[in-house]
Parts: sequence; structure tokens; C-alpha cells
Amino acid sequence: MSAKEHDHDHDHDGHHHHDEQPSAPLPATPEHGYWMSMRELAGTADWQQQPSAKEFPPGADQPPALDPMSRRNFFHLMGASAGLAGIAAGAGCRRYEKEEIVPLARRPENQVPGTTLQYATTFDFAGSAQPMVATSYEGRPIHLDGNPDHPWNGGGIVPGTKRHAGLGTFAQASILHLYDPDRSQTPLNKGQGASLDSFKASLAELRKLVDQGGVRILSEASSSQTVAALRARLAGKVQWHEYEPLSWDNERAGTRMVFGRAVRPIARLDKCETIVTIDCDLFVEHPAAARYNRDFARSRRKGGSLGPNKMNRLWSVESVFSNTGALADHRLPLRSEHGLPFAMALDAAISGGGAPNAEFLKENKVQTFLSVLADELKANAGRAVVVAGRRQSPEVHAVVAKINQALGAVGATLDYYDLPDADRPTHLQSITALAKDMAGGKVSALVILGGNPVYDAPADLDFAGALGKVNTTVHLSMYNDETSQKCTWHVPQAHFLEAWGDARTWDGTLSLAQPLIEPLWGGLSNAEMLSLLLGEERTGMELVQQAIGNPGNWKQLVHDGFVPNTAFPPAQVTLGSLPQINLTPSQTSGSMRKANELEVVFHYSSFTYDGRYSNNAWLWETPDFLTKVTWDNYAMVSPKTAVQLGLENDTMITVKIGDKSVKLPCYTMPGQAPYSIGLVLGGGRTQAGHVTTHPHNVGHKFENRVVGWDTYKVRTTAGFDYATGATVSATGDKYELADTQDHWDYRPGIFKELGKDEIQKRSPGLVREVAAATYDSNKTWKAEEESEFWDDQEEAAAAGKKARHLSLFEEHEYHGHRWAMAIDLGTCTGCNACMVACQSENNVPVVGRKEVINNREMSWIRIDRYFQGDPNDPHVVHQPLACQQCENAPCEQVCPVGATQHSDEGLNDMAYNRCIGTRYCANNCPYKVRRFNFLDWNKEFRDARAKVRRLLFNPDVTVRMRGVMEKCTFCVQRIQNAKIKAKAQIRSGQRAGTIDQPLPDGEVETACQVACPTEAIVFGDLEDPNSRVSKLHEDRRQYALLPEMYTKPRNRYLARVRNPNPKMPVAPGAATAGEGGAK
Amino acid sequence: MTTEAAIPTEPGKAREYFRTVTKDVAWIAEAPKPHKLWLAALTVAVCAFGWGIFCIYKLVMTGIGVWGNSNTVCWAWDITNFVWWIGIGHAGTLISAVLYLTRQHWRVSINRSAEAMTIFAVMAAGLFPLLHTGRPWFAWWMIPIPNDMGSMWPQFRSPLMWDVFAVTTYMTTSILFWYMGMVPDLATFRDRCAMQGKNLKSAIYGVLSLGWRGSARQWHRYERAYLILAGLATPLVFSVHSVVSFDFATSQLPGWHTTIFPPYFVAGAIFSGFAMVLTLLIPLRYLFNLKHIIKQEHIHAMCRIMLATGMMVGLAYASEFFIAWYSGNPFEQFTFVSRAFGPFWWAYFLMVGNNVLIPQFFWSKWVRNNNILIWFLCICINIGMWFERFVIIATSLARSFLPSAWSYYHPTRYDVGVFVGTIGMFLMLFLLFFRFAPVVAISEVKGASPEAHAGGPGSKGGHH
Repeated sequence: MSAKEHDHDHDHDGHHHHDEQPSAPLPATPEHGYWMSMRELAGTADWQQQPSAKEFPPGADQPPALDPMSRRNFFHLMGASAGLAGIAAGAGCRRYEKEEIVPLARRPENQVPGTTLQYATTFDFAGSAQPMVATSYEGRPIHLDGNPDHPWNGGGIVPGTKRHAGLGTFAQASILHLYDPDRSQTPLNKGQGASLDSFKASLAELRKLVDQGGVRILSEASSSQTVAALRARLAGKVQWHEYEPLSWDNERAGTRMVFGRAVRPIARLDKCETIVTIDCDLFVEHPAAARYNRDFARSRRKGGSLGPNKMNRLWSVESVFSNTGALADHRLPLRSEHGLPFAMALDAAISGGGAPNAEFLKENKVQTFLSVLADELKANAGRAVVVAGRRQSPEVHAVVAKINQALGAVGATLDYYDLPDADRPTHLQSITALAKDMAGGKVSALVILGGNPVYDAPADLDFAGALGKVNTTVHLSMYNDETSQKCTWHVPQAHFLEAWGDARTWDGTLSLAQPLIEPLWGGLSNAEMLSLLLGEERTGMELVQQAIGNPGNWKQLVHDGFVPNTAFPPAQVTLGSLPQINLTPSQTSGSMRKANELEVVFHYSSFTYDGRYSNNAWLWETPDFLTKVTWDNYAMVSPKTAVQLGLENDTMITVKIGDKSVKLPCYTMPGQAPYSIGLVLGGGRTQAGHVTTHPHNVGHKFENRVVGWDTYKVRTTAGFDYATGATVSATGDKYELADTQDHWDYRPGIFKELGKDEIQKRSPGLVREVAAATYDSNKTWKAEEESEFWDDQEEAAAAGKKARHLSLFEEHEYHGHRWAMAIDLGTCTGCNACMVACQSENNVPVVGRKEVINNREMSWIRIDRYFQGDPNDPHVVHQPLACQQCENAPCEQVCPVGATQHSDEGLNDMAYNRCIGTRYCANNCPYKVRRFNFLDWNKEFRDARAKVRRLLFNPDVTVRMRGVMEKCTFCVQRIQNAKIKAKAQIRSGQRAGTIDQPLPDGEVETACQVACPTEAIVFGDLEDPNSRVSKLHEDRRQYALLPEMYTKPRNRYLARVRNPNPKMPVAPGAATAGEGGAK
Repeated sequence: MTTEAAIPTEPGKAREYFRTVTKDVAWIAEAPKPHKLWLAALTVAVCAFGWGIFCIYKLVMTGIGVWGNSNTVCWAWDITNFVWWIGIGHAGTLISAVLYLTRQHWRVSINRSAEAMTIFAVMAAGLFPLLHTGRPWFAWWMIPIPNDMGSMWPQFRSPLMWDVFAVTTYMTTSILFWYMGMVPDLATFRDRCAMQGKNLKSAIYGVLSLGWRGSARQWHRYERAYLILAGLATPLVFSVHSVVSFDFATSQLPGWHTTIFPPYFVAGAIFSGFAMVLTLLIPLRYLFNLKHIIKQEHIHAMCRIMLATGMMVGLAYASEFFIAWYSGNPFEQFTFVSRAFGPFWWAYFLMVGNNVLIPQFFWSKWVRNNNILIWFLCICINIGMWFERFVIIATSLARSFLPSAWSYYHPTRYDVGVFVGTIGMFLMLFLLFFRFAPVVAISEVKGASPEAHAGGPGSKGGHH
């Protein structure tokens, strides 16, 4: 059920159970993890008064660390084998409670067994709200999507279509943590199990310290108004620090430089004809990515928001290849340290004045890039914007502000917003001050709300050491992590799906979070923790209600998930003068460097973000968009630099910055800026949980292997965003990275370039592109070659040809539906959202690093990427690929037991029960989209410990056993549910029509389609000539993948229209890339 | 035959010669203690078989994941082994049926052991289609068993179904042919055991010989039945491997999708089958003193067949390349260039070296007389023919249409283990057969010998 329909269904009755008794306190949660009856869970039974319930204090029977071979786990396994898991996982041997089975004579409101409900909620991700809709099945959340009604990222990209919103990978995958058995389940005092009551008792002492001053609070970035309100109440008594390892505070510092106060720039990409990014990833890393994805898609579409026949042009200057760089029409690989002189030169070219005297600016390529770009910006003044990234220094943001002012962007393509906390020090300053004060003994107690500073604070601060000097330290955290283990108290944090809360999207729109489930392990939210600290014990809902005031009907607000019209006020800014900018010698150098003058750029991890998702197996196994590596972080080195420094792919290297060094694998990344090493953060966590730290068979001995490498070890306050003067050397060790796609120079034979050349030859036909100029001028251009054969009578007649039946078998006939998909390669940013959505929707298993190396990953949809042209400045193309649902499916003909069959709605169905696993279908599939269960990937769920993970499974999708084949089903369960719902509505008179009528367009949406933030994926019915997908299948950009196979795929791609500036020289290799289709 | 002049032609001497043949074959089964080398070989074979059973246990209990197969290379050693073993079986049927119908009397000295080899090879082969399925306990769903579940019916468009029928038919016919041919000799064994007072053995052979008395009527029926079975088995020589090749030929994959496969596979099968016959018979011929029955000229003949079929296979390799180029299909072209020069180049050169270059030695008479060298060359051919199947299967899969799915293949110890296990099983069965059954078709050797036609001018011809 979509959120929109939910509107109609339940406008007048309460929207969920939590509404029913707004003033009732949340029931006490069982103190041990597992619960045995609803009464126990609700805390209403007399059971808590029983002596046995308190016989063993929670956690007393277990060591704090999640040692895989601990006594506790041993008992869990024993329990599982004896079928007594529930008892063993509790405290000691107990008998089952006497339960009464009461018939559900009156159905709870809104609860229809077997159906799902959707609730709007919000996830505060690193200080930026991610508005979403959570799907809940019988009381347990199972899937997250973007909230299409939210003003921040909702609405349609194509006018007149259903409202949409995408959701990024991190936000989507955060649901996995809800059911993570590694989540902290009990408070710990000095490492020993304790109860929440004993923690509350200890707070009295802490409050005394608060009154004396000397207590500090360190919080992860929070945009919550509730937290801010509580913080205000603590102001004066405690000093507040805020820290994020991947911080956007340089933007604040930069705007403060030129405007006198910190303001937040947000571009309006839908109004831009020219978009320039300087070391900035708009589509994944940026806190405004949700909006940027959609706005970019609006102006990227030919004839989109810019008007008929117009589309935007994206210029990207960056050191590490990002999703933005991959989509750019022109990309300049440039070291991050050169961002400042580049911005200054661009400023000079636009508003006059002298360009800085930097060597690299005189290089031909840079010069051309700069001058053409400057001309275009001037010509498009008022329709252009420049955006600088997180890594760039405050000076760059200041210069960029000046450029935008000169371009007349402010108010047209760019808005500045006033921030409520504009005066706070930057994250880096804040954590530095805190660490110094702690080390200096000025801190009597520290409360850490979330975050993991022991792991991710700058290495030179020695945060762990400083923490040891503080007497009382409290860490509220979902995991008993590195920081928790150094603190005197650890308190489990509630997952955002378990707690009330609020957060602001990047533009300030207040969004509400509602709990969908009782805290599974009894955690507290940040606000609840602060409330305890203030000596009161209010529920999360009370706190939120108190903080946001009374902006409207509470039920309506909770239902919608946001408070309308609460964006920050647009700021009126006047440009001051730029401060004197002094360039360092390395900033004025050329693009060539010496080996000991390398730059190291700290890059977010597409797997763990900054390390916080380390225990998330979905994300670890979702390949990085460009490297296609899984289960590791690595150093990215440009191929040229690698040759010069003697580094190789799949070997270990040492990166040394000052006196700090880290060993990690090398990945030769085409398009990485020369002499710039891209160091991915977020690996090597030792206390994250079983996913990251697991026993690993090393030479027949089990060792705890940690996934990835701790690159924070070399990140200091001086080199926080990027460091210079680094050296890199090969260690001589081999290390195989688990990538899902071949390396650039993968496995040569006698002819080393054989495979590479073939990829260059094939990829333009696989991923078709067209230059905007060709697309406009040549109206007969079509992405697909004219067919020589016609098998459809009507089509043949229309083309004046004679139809000929080509297939050995009879063509299928359809009555009712013919499901199909269209994927627009022009707006796919490769953000992987579809992959995670599919994983969540279809219970796709995770196989682990070793099995990815063995090429057994299970993803039903993958994103192929191919490089073209010069390895040091390549052109990248990418292509989401799932089952093509062929009309003449080669898999169907070779299955000896008929386990894969054509349905009468055109789906290529897979009957898991019938499959015996010959794998012949996968051999015969030209697209290689079939996935075989080589091993029992769901084995872990039989472990008593991991049973809670089963709650996440989508009950509408079979969990596959080993030995059977699986693949994309076009989310057949969604199709069936939509049909059932429509029929029920028609029968009950809620909807007009007959029960066998086809579903209206847009009623069925696949999981990948809903997750796509740019609406690149469109699904629908070809039998309906007016459906969006039918229209797209007739677009001249449409083409079938591998049409020569005559599989007649039901999925069509829309060729990517590139929009290069005609004045830019055509890069070698790009010429072939531009002309993928027929002419 | 060159040695005819030395053979006595008088009736009395002929009788003595027949007796010698019987004795020379029967002593192997009658010897109270087996040969030490036989015992050693059996021990090795049983160990290998045992290891294979352990690997199969692990495979069935854990999943196909214990092998090196992947989502790109879905078939690898499993189907390679299957096709290799099936191919080896072909020599037996060719020798017993085709050479019988074409009146090649030199076949009689080797046909029994070659047929036994066929059966054991098909048994080994049959394991793989079963074991390579993800859920082998449901492999019986491939059999069209009438049932009340409606949709539980095989899908006859799948070449794997054709395989099921081709292989089971082949297996049945081969067993019937082999066993029926053995009946007169089993009766001989029965009678000899009875004369020697070995009552238990005699009883067992008695049951197995199905009441054979050697009457003219029985001989008449026997000859008719043998001819019919030979007629039935002959098309199987060509059909089985053709059908097996359809697994590949009817698919879409470049390097598989080719019309040349049926004759190419049949030639290769005969090639590898003869190599295996010689691999087994050369040592056993020494061990059990059968040099005067399995003569050097029989080995010569087999070498010539290998030379011919080896060159057919070489022609097929060349044709594939030519057609790939001539077809103008870029996928096809790349597959073949990549086969020879891509990451699997080493496998390709093992294949061409062993299958095309090695048989060229058989041009030389000196080589054909050097049994140790022949044995070594036959082992090379066995290896080469295994690699032929591996190259076809793995290289085509590893680099198919979409480069994003390209990968490489590494076997695991379980891939090797199951294969070694089938070799162990094959050798074990063959060694047991050699010890307890009439390894040479006694009656046929007698029938084909000149003594059987003593005095007749056309004594070179057979009695058929």
C-alpha cells in the first residue's frame, strides 16, 4: 500500500497504534533480549514481579565482547540444537510462561493479517534528515522507501506521473541494524552487564557533576529540534561538542568568510543549464543528495524543467572519481589541493582579475577546460551554478560563493539559508577542543551521544587516551563499539525505527520520526538520554511534542512525516571581500609530482559511510559504483601514478603521512587524479560486530579477521580532508580484492590487451549513447538498428515489410498484462539504491567476501560499468542490469524440469520448488543475470543468535534454499498484491470496474523503481498503450540489449544523451562512445 | 594377418590351440592368488574411490559451492568429466558393434574388455549429471514418471532431457550386449570350475551363464541376438555423443552454438575411447600374459584409428576457427581468439598439443611397436581429450556476451576429488572384472582364428 493511498484509507482514524494513547508511557521492555509472550513484551504481566525474573541480572552471564566462541554463544548453539533457543537465550533455564490463547475477536484497527502498512518516518543521517516511508508487516518494519509526499525530495520528475521519492543506500540499509543480533542488548558498566535501572541510579551522581560544571556532551551531528531544545536547557551547565568525521563545516567556514555569517547554500539544479562541481559528489555523498538527484534529473531530461529540447550540462573537477564525475559531460581529474587555485582561476576568468600563478593551470588540458567552462558560465549566467565539495577548504567555498554571486546564481539557481546554529565551531575545532580539555583534566564527565570518536576522531588527538583521563564517561550507542569499550558506561541506543524523534532535511524542513516497533533491546534515543540527564523521565513522544510546539494536528503531522513550511528562512547575504589567499608551493605546482609529495584524499566509503555501517552486510556486499569492489576499503591510485610508483592492483601498499602510516590494498582507479591517493575511510573496525570482525580460516587456524583497513590512523587535524606530502610504497604482498566485475587489466592471456580491447569494442553497443547535438539535429536517429526481420504482423505492415516468424517456437499470446520495464541510462547516477532495495524486498542473501571472489554474489540487479578511452581520464558508462524477462527466453527452453516458465503476463517465472539446479538456464542466459545458490546462504539464520534477523524477511518472497536458481522476478509479489487489492476494492465497491480489468498504470511499482531517486526505472504494462513504459518502448532512444540474440527482452534501455560542449576537444575513445546507436 | 603361416592347420592341433586359448583366459579367474601388481593396483583404485565417496558426501551435504563453479562458469569439471567419461565409453561400443558389423575380426581379442570399459565409463559418467545438480535428491524429476501431481513432468525441449534418454539407452544396450556376449564364456568357466571341484564358484558362474549348454540351437539364437544387438548398438555410437554435444550446440553461447559438434564429438569420443582401451590393456596384457591373444597388430590397428580420429579432431579445431572468422559474428570470433590466446591459453595448448600433435607419432611403425611409448602417448591423449571438453565448456562460459560477467575458473580439491574418485571406481571395477570374468571373448577368438576354418581355402574369413 502506498503512502498516498494510505491517506485516503485512514484519514479519519488513527494512523497507527502509538497514536492511540498519546500520554501513556512506553511499556517497559523486557530487560533480556528475547521475549516469550506478548504479555511479557508489553510488560503487563505479573511476570516481572516473579523472583526468577530478577534471579540473573541481565548480562551477568555473558562477557561483554561478542566473542564468537564465548560461553554465551556456545549456549546459544546448544539451545538451537535442542530446540530450546528461546530459553537458552534468556537467563538460564526457565520454563515457558503459562500463556493464554485468546481469540482475536475484534481485529485491531488497521491490522489485516497478511497485509502491510506504511508509516512515514525520518532518519537523521549525519545531521541531515532522510524522510521515508517504512513498510511494516504485522508489527515489524521490513522495508524502507523515500517519502514521496515530503516537500524536500518528493514529487514527480516527469510531470503528470505518480509522486515519487528515492532513497539512498545508507538510509535503506539502516533497517538491517534494527534486527542486528550484534546490537548492544544491555547497558554495561565498566564492561560488566548492568541494568538500565542501575544506570539511572548512577545518573544522580552525574547530575551533581553537571551542576558543578565540567561535564561535556559530545554528540554526533543532529538536526533534531528535540535535541536542540534539551540542549538549550542544559546550556550554561554543560559544554556541548558536535563531531562528524565526514563534515560539511568547511562550507560554513567559507560562507562566513565572505558573508560574515555561516549560511547554507543549496543549489536549484532543476533551473541550471550549467552545473559545475569542484570535488563534490552531488548524488551520494552530499547531504542534499535526495533533492539534487531529483532536480538534476528534472533538468537533465531533454525537454524537462529547462523547456523544450533543453538539457543541462554537468562539469566536474575532482580527484576521486565520484558518481557525479561519472555522469559529467566533462570531467577534469585534478588533485584536491588544486581545487583552490582552480576556483580562483575560474573566478578570475569570470569576473576579471589575475589568475593565480600555478603551474598546472598552464597545462593545455586545464587551460582549455577552464576557458571553455568560463565562457559557458558567462553565457549561462543566471542559469548556472558552481558547487564545491566537503573536502575543499573554506577558501574554496568562499571563492565559489563569489563566483556564484558573479553569475547571478543567488536567488535564481542557488539559495542561501540561515542556520539556527550558525555560530557553533566546526566539527574539527570542537573535537580538538574537547580532546585537549579531556587530556588536560578539565573534564569531569563526558556523555557521548552516538558516534564513535575513539575510532574516527583525528589520530593526532589520541581521543582514546584523553578519554581515559575522564572519570565518568557514558556512551549511548547501538553497538558496544570501540568508544563504548573505553567508557565507564555503555547504554544501548534505540534504532530510529524504535524511537520518537525529529530531524531537519538539509533545507530545514522539520520531519517527524515515529517508532514502528518497541525497542527490541530496550534502547534509548538521544533525546531520552538527555531527558534522563536532566532528571526527568519523559517519553520520546512527549519530548518531541514539547520541542516542536503545536504546529498543527499532531496525528496529521505524524501521518505525513513532516511539518509543512518549516524550511529555514532564505538568507539575505551581501558579499564581502575575500580574505588574502596564500597558496602553498604544492598548490602552485604542475600536475606532475615527486613520489614523496603525494596527496592523500579521504573519501567516504560506499559501504560503511564513515565506518558506522561496518556491521551492515548488505552494504559491504553492494559493490562500489566505480571500483566494483566489495568487502574492503582500499587506496585508489591512478594507473599512471601506479606505474611510476611501482604499485599494482591487488597488492598491499603502505601509505605514510608524516609519522603515521597504514597498510591497505591498492586499486588502480582509472580517472583518479595523478599523484593523488584516494583513501577510503570506514574499514578496519575491530568492535563493530560479527559482520566486520569474524573468525576467518587462515592457514587452518581461526583468526579474527577484520573487514577493511583503518585509514583513520593516518587522518590528523592537519590533514583532515586531504593531506599532502605523503609517500606510498609497495609492501610486496599480494591481496585479492573481492570485485564483482573484472579489473581494467584483468587476467591477461598470451595477448595481454585482448580482453580489454574487446571490452572497448563491445561496450558502446551495450551501453548506447548519443551526443545531444546528434540527437537534436538528426531526427531519424534511433538507438536501435532497424530490424531486418519482422515477426509482428502489425509492426511489419506499418514498416511496409512482410512479417516472418523467426522463432522455433510459437510466440506467446497475452490477454491482460504484459509487464515491462524501461531504464533511462541518461539519468542513472549509479547510486546503487536499486540494488539495496531489491536486496531488502526480495530477501536476497549475502554471500561474503570469499564467495564474491568466487563470483557467486546473488544480487538480482547489478550495475555494470565500463571504462572507455584513456585510462587516466576515461569515459565511464554504466548500466543497471536485472533479468531482461525475454519474450524468447533462452533459459526457459533448456530447463529439463520446466522450473522456469513464461507466465501469461509475460513474466519469466522461476519455480524454486521445482528447480533441481542443473544451472543450464544460467549458461544459456546471454545477460548472466541468473543467480545460483551454490551454498546455503541462509544457514546463519538457523543459529539461535541470529533468529531475530528473520524478522526482516519479506514474508511475500520465498527464502531460497541451496541448490536452486533465482533471479529478478519483476517483483511478482507486488504485482499479485496489487491485483488482489484491486479486485477486493472492485468487489467491495470502492473502485469502479470489473475484476478482470487491467490495473491502471503506476499501480504496480517494483522495489528498484521506487528506490531510484531519479526515476530512471519505469515499470508498467505494455498491453496498455498509454502506459509510461509503452511510450518509452517506442521512444527513439530505446534499444534492447544484445538484440542479435533475438531474445526480445521486455526490458528496454533508453540511450544516454550526453551534452558535451562543442568547443571542447573530443577525447580519444570518446568518439566511439558517443555514437553507440544506429545512424 | 602376418602370423597365419605359423599356425598349425591340422584338426588335432587346432583343438589343442582352442584348449590353450580357454586355459590362457580362464587361468586369470582360476588362479588361487591374485597377482601382486593387480592387488596393488586394486588398493590404489579402492583408495581413490573411497576418497571420491568422501568428496561426494561433502558435495551433497554442503552444496555445489564446494566446487569451483561460479555464476559465470556454471558448469566446469562436472560436465567436463561427464562428457569425457561418455566419450571413453564409445570405443567399447565401436569395437563390439561397428567392427562386428563390418567384419573386423581383430576386434575379438579386445571387445570384451572394451565393452566392460564402456560400462564402467558410462557408470562414472552417469554420476556427474546426477551430482552436478544443486539438489541431487530431486534429480529423478528428470525421469518422466506418471504421477498425480500434474505439472511434475519433464520439459522435453531441454537437451538435458535428451541426454537422460540417450545415456540410459546407451547404458542399457551396452550392458545387454556385454553380458549376452559373455554367456558362453561364463558357461565355460562354470564347467571348468565344476571339473576342478570348486562348487560354489561353479554355482555362481552357473547362475550367470543362464543355463547355457552350447547346443547348436542356442548358438543359433545367440548369433541372431548378437547381430540384432550389434545393429541396435551401432547407431548409439553416433547418437549418444551427438546428443551430448546438443547440450552445447543448441545453446546460445559463442563457442557452444555450432553445428559441427555432433561429428566432432563422436570422433573425439572414439579417439579418447581407444586411448583408454590401450591405457588399460597394455599393462594388463603383460600382467596376465595375453600377448598372444591381444597381439601387437591389434595395438597397431588401434594406433591407426587414433591417428585417424585425432586428425579428425584436429580438423574440427581448425574448422571451428575458420567458421568463427567466416561467420562474421564478433562474439564467436572473440570466443575463439580468447580460447587460444586468452587467460585459458594453457588449456587450449594442452588440448591441441595432446590431441593433434601427439597422435602424429603413430605414423611411425617404430612407435607403434614400442608399447611403453604408446602407453605414454595414450595417457597424453586422455589428458588432451579431457582438456578439449574443459576448453569448450569453461572458456566459452568465462567470457560470454557481457564483459561485466567475465571471470576465471579455479577448481577446488572437491572438483579434483570427485573426478579422482570416479577414476578409482572405474579402475576398481575394471580390475575386478579382469580377475573374475572372461576378459577375452573365448568363443569368438576361437571362431575368428584360422584353426576354426582349418583346411578351407578361405580360412582367413570368419565363420559368420
